[in-house]
Amino acid sequence: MIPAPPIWTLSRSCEKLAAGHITSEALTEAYLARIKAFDGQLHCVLRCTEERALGDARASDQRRAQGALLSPLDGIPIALKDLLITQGIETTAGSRILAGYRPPYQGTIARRLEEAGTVLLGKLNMDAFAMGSSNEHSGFGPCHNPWALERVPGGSSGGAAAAVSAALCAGAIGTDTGGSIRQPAAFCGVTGLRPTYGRVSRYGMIAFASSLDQAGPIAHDVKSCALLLQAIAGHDPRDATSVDLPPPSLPPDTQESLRGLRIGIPEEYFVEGSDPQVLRAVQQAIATLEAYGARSVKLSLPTTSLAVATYVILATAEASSNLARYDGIRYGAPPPDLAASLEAFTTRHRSAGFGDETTRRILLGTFVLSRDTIAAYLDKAQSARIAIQEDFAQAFSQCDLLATPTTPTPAFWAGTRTQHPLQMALADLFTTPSSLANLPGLSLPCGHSEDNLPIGLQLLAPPFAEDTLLRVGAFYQAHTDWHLRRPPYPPAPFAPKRLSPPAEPASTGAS
Amino acid sequence: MAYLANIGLEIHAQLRTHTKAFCACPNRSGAPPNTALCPTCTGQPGALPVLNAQAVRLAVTAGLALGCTIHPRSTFARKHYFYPDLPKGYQITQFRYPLCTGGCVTFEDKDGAHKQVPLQRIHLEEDAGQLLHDHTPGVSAIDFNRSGIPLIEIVTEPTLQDADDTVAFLKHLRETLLYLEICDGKMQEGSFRCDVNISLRPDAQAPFGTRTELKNMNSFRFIHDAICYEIQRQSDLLARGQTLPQQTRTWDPHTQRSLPLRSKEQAPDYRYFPEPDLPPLQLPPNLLQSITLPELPLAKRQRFAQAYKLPPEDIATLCAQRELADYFEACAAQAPSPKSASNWIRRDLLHALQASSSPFPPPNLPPTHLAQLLWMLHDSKLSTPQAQTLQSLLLEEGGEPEEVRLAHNLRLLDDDESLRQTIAHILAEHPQTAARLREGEQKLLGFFMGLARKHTQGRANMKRLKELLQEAITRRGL
Repeated sequence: MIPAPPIWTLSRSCEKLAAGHITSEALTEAYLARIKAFDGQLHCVLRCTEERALGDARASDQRRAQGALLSPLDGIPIALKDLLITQGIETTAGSRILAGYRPPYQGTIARRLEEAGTVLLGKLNMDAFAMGSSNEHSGFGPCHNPWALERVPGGSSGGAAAAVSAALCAGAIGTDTGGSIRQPAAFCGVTGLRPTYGRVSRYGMIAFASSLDQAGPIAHDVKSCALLLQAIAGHDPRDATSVDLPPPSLPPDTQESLRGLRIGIPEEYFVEGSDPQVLRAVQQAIATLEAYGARSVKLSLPTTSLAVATYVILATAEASSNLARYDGIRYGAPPPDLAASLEAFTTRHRSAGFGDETTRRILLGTFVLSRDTIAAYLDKAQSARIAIQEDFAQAFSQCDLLATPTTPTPAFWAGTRTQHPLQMALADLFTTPSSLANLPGLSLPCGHSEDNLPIGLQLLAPPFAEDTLLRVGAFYQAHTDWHLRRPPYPPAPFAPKRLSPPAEPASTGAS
Repeated sequence: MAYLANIGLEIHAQLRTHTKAFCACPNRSGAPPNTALCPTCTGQPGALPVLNAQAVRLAVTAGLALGCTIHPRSTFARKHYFYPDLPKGYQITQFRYPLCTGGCVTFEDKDGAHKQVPLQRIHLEEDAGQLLHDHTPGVSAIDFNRSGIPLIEIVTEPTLQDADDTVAFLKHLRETLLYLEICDGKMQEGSFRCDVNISLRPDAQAPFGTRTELKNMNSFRFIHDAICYEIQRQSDLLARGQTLPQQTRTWDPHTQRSLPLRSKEQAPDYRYFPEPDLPPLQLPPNLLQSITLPELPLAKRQRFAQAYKLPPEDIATLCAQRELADYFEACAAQAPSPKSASNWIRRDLLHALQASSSPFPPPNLPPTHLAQLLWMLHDSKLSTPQAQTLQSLLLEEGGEPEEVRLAHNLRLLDDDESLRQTIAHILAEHPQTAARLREGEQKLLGFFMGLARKHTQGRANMKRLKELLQEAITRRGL
């Protein structure tokens, strides 16, 4: 029996479209039906662009009939984290301060996906301004983890990871500043790639921390991520920090072995404090790679303990600057009454529009940049960042990539860390160092906890060595099936012809 | 007690680039409000800056002309403050590592003596939008056309000591930037403006006094008045033993006073940090060699004095604009004399252009053609009024001067026969005066010359007529 279309991975959907087994319109209708049926519980989707999606899909089917396909992704339904600018389609960055903002221009990522012929299903939930690790700081309500609805999907790309996991879209584009693609991918049991800084244009990506932000693909498997990356990566003259390199190549379809591959195991990522189940699953994954010829190399990254503090200082400093433009004058959800003085107007607008976490980070960032404290904080953090980069460079002289857990624990319970910002930040312990070092990182599902919660394996490579990540990741997924497991919610299977919600009430499907 | 003033300047000059500093919006003055906008210069979420290479070239040109050290590597920084005309909530500028440092400007003070002002730095930055308080009643309107226009900021060391020198320096600097075609110098429109910092101290050995900053001055007269006022105001306060707060003040031309804007306690902390969206600026290796500086104002004036032996007033007018100086030189090279070219250009040409509001240089009258016209005058082929008519025709329609002259029959009454007829006529009309002239009152010659001119509508060859008139009155019977 052919499994229901949305259970296919994105790359499988490409094959099915190419073989004529399904049309883009049918595929799109199936995803739209799933969104209608299940997103009420999950709340991944902030905005479903149904008419647009069907129009995109029909146009794709026409192109296919004429043999005029735009790319390998032509006709594939995808969704975008709401941090990504889509012209004329409300884009909020997950914050109330941008409620109703319809961008007057098109972002590069949205434009490239359009030019590739993909179908836009909608915009996805996220922590406001990408500040968070649980999607609980969304201005529009939290998102839930399809593996356990009372647990967080991770953040800030929580909506994107959960949507892919729940098969509400074939693939998604998220963003990663300190781990915001990789950590939710790990929590939701999907594959997520943070490209090297500069690979993907930031023009049309609402800025949080300019020297750390990077957009990247989230999908079920590595090959799908690679296809998405090819569509969005590449030099953009509108982004002065984007690099002029061709996108990484797709991973080879078959690989004999991993002989010759040296995998660095940094001891600082395997200390006590992490959930033992996580450590076991990751060590098992490494053992799998070794069974196929890879050799592990124990090493140390002593600057690991500097990373969170360095990241907090640098990211909040840049964020306080990037969010200065939200003064309510040119755009933004205005406060209910216009105050007499300019200062009062701006203060009220920002206080009403920004949530607690955003406010917290702006205050901290402003403090760090103040005349009296800048030397002690910002300057020191910039030096620490360089030290972290040099540490990684040293490590890569001994190995081809590093393997670590993506997160110290599986998905935590909702509501348990919102009052403890530092605890929340520690969820990104293993992902922030590589962000600071501008490295590419891949998170792959590599196991489950006893509670049936996904566990992620993180692979890190030197700058611009995504090829290595994709190659090794694809190999791992060719020999394991963690990435093919489906979450308990939404209930499966879901036949394509039936567009109304399933007979069983949705709640019995949840774990 | 007389105090020593120390005046330091921060000059902001808009660069004459085709597009803005960090986006492709056109850099054009006079456009209707909010018509030269894009996501970048209006600070939309997700927009990014990209550096304008032409702005870099112009800034480097300024640095070279003003004797600065040009740094191959410089960086951009964000300067934060909230104001409605600043869309990102920060200005992109240069802070720790500017494009140019050092430099020195030589200028002529009002007595013609040469003085020098050392510079601290020149750096690139973007302009903010414009707040218009008079556009719509009851509201302040914002025009973002100006947001993102590239500026250079030129900072001097505080060595100027009085209002006269400051204005002379600024005039010279403005003229230099015009010569370099870097800035259009339109102060009323805000393309060349200046913050003036003034402090007083008892003598040159004492440490610098507390500083007052006068912001956004865009008129030489206001600058002069404000500096005089400030020096007096500060002297009075210091003489009374009072301390001066470090303050920003604004000049009110109506009451002829400066008024406080904010004091140091309220001075903002700009939270400068390196701009992450722009990589460090690395100048292309051949950039410096590829820039040829034109002859600068001071050097040009000195050369004009030596080469053309023209008086200072002539030079001042001719050298005020580089195009005018170039035009004069091309014309003088072929004219009967530099002075003839200077006189005609300063009086007749400029006057005609102003009267018809025509631009300079005149597209239909190249300098070589004007030289030909001057030779015609020199050779008495036509009279001065006829030459002015010829000039008008050429300005309007161009063409070869000699052809146009003949086509319009612009020539002097040249044949002796017509001239004698004229002379006979005018002498007959005024027999008593003619008699007195014959008696020897030479000064009456002028009277008859004037009559002859009128009689011939200015077409008589006055030189020949004078000769014939002399003949006529010495010969009896006429």
